[in-house]
Amino acid sequence: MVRGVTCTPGFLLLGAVLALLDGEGVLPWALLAAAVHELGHYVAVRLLGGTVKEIRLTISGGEMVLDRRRPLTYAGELAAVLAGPGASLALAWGALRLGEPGWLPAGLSLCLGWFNLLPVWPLDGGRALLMILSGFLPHDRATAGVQLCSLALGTGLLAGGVSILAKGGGATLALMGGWLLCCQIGMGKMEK
Amino acid sequence: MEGARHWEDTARRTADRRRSAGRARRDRRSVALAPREKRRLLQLCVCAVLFLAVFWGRNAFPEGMEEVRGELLQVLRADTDFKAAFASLGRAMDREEGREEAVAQAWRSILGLKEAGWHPWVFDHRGNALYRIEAARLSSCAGRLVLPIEKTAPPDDAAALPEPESGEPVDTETAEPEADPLGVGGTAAPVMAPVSSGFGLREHPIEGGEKFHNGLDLAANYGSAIGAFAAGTVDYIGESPAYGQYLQLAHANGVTSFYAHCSRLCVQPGQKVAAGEKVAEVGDTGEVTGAHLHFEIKVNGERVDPADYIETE
Repeated sequence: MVRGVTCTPGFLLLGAVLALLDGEGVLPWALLAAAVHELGHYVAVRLLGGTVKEIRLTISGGEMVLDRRRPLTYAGELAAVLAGPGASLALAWGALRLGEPGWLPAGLSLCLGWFNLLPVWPLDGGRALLMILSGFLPHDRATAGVQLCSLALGTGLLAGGVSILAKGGGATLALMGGWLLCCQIGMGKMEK
Repeated sequence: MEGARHWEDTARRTADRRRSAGRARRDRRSVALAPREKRRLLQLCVCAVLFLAVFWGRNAFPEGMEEVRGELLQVLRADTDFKAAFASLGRAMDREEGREEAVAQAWRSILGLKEAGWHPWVFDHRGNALYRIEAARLSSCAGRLVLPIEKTAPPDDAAALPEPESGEPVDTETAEPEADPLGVGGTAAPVMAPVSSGFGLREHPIEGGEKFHNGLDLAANYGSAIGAFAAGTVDYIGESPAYGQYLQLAHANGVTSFYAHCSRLCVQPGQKVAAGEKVAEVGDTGEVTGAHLHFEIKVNGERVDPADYIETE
């Protein structure tokens, strides 16, 4: 069982900003999509014999801290990491069966799943990349590879976002790229 | 006496214990709250206050918060309707045909990526001074439309350009557009969206080949509300394989507006509507590659370029 849930200041800040900006009632659906995504991770960890020690709600979203006394293999942890986007895709598929009322949750869930598959730490894609590289390379070199990929992709997204902004478009991509680059600051401790 | 001394000793020991316990508690607190912890506690308090302030503020000062929210949204998302954009993505995945194009359009909406607005098969005429003079002249006679084709100066005949009475060159940049060129009263853009295909000759996106496009395609999100171009009456509604669900409004001075590829029609024939009133929702019915509004304006049965009369992104 989960021993504790930690709510960081960043999560409260994120919640405040999203609550302020959400005027169309998208936030409850986004929370549902996020909850199903995290549930996918949790169920996979439990099925693979692991234990979730703590759930941390941070500015990056939900993070699960596994109990290292019952470690998962690289393959097991890779499966647990990919279970989140898998749950998102399953929710989208289920919502699309409902027809028009399901389009919004399906679209949100697909966005969440696809976005999390970007190979950027600490997203699921970045964690999955670390697991795959760790199977072939020493941990330090695998970590360096993920860091390089994360920085390159984060910079690329930021540059693309600034380009869109300069053409009078929205700030979504720029914010996303900036946020992913900020996440790289505290990525020194990458654990399996 | 002995009893009283015993009581005093007991009271002193109890007080000592309390003082000692208090010091210990204070010591424990000071150990627990290291500078890093204090910083974190402060961050948590500030964020919690902000979090609560937003929820409280939305109820206590709805207008003020709405104003702040509007300004922030203007900066952050450039009028992107995320609810419609995410729903468009879900709708696109539900499609059997043209899914890739629909998904790409939904992603463009989510990322706030506006259409380039330039198409190789559409003459970008708005920056052309001759075009603007001619459009102003044609607009002035709309409603009593007489198209003196034979009297129109050829585009390359500079001498035939209408000269202003003062003899000064026409300042096309500062010239104020006429408020109601069609004489239909107040007008409104049916949807505020980028133009994905303009009025005029173009490469047909489905059938191929160069064909005349009778209206303006506005790349709005699926489900976005379509407002009436001007006050008028619903002329007819219908559905066809090419136009999907469509409707036409009749306005004053022989002007009609036509709306096609709608996902839902919200009016009935003969119904009176005001300018900007919702008449339908944007859709992808009929021959389309993605959700958009096909919008036409006719003056006494002659099609005109709607881009001259509505604002677009």
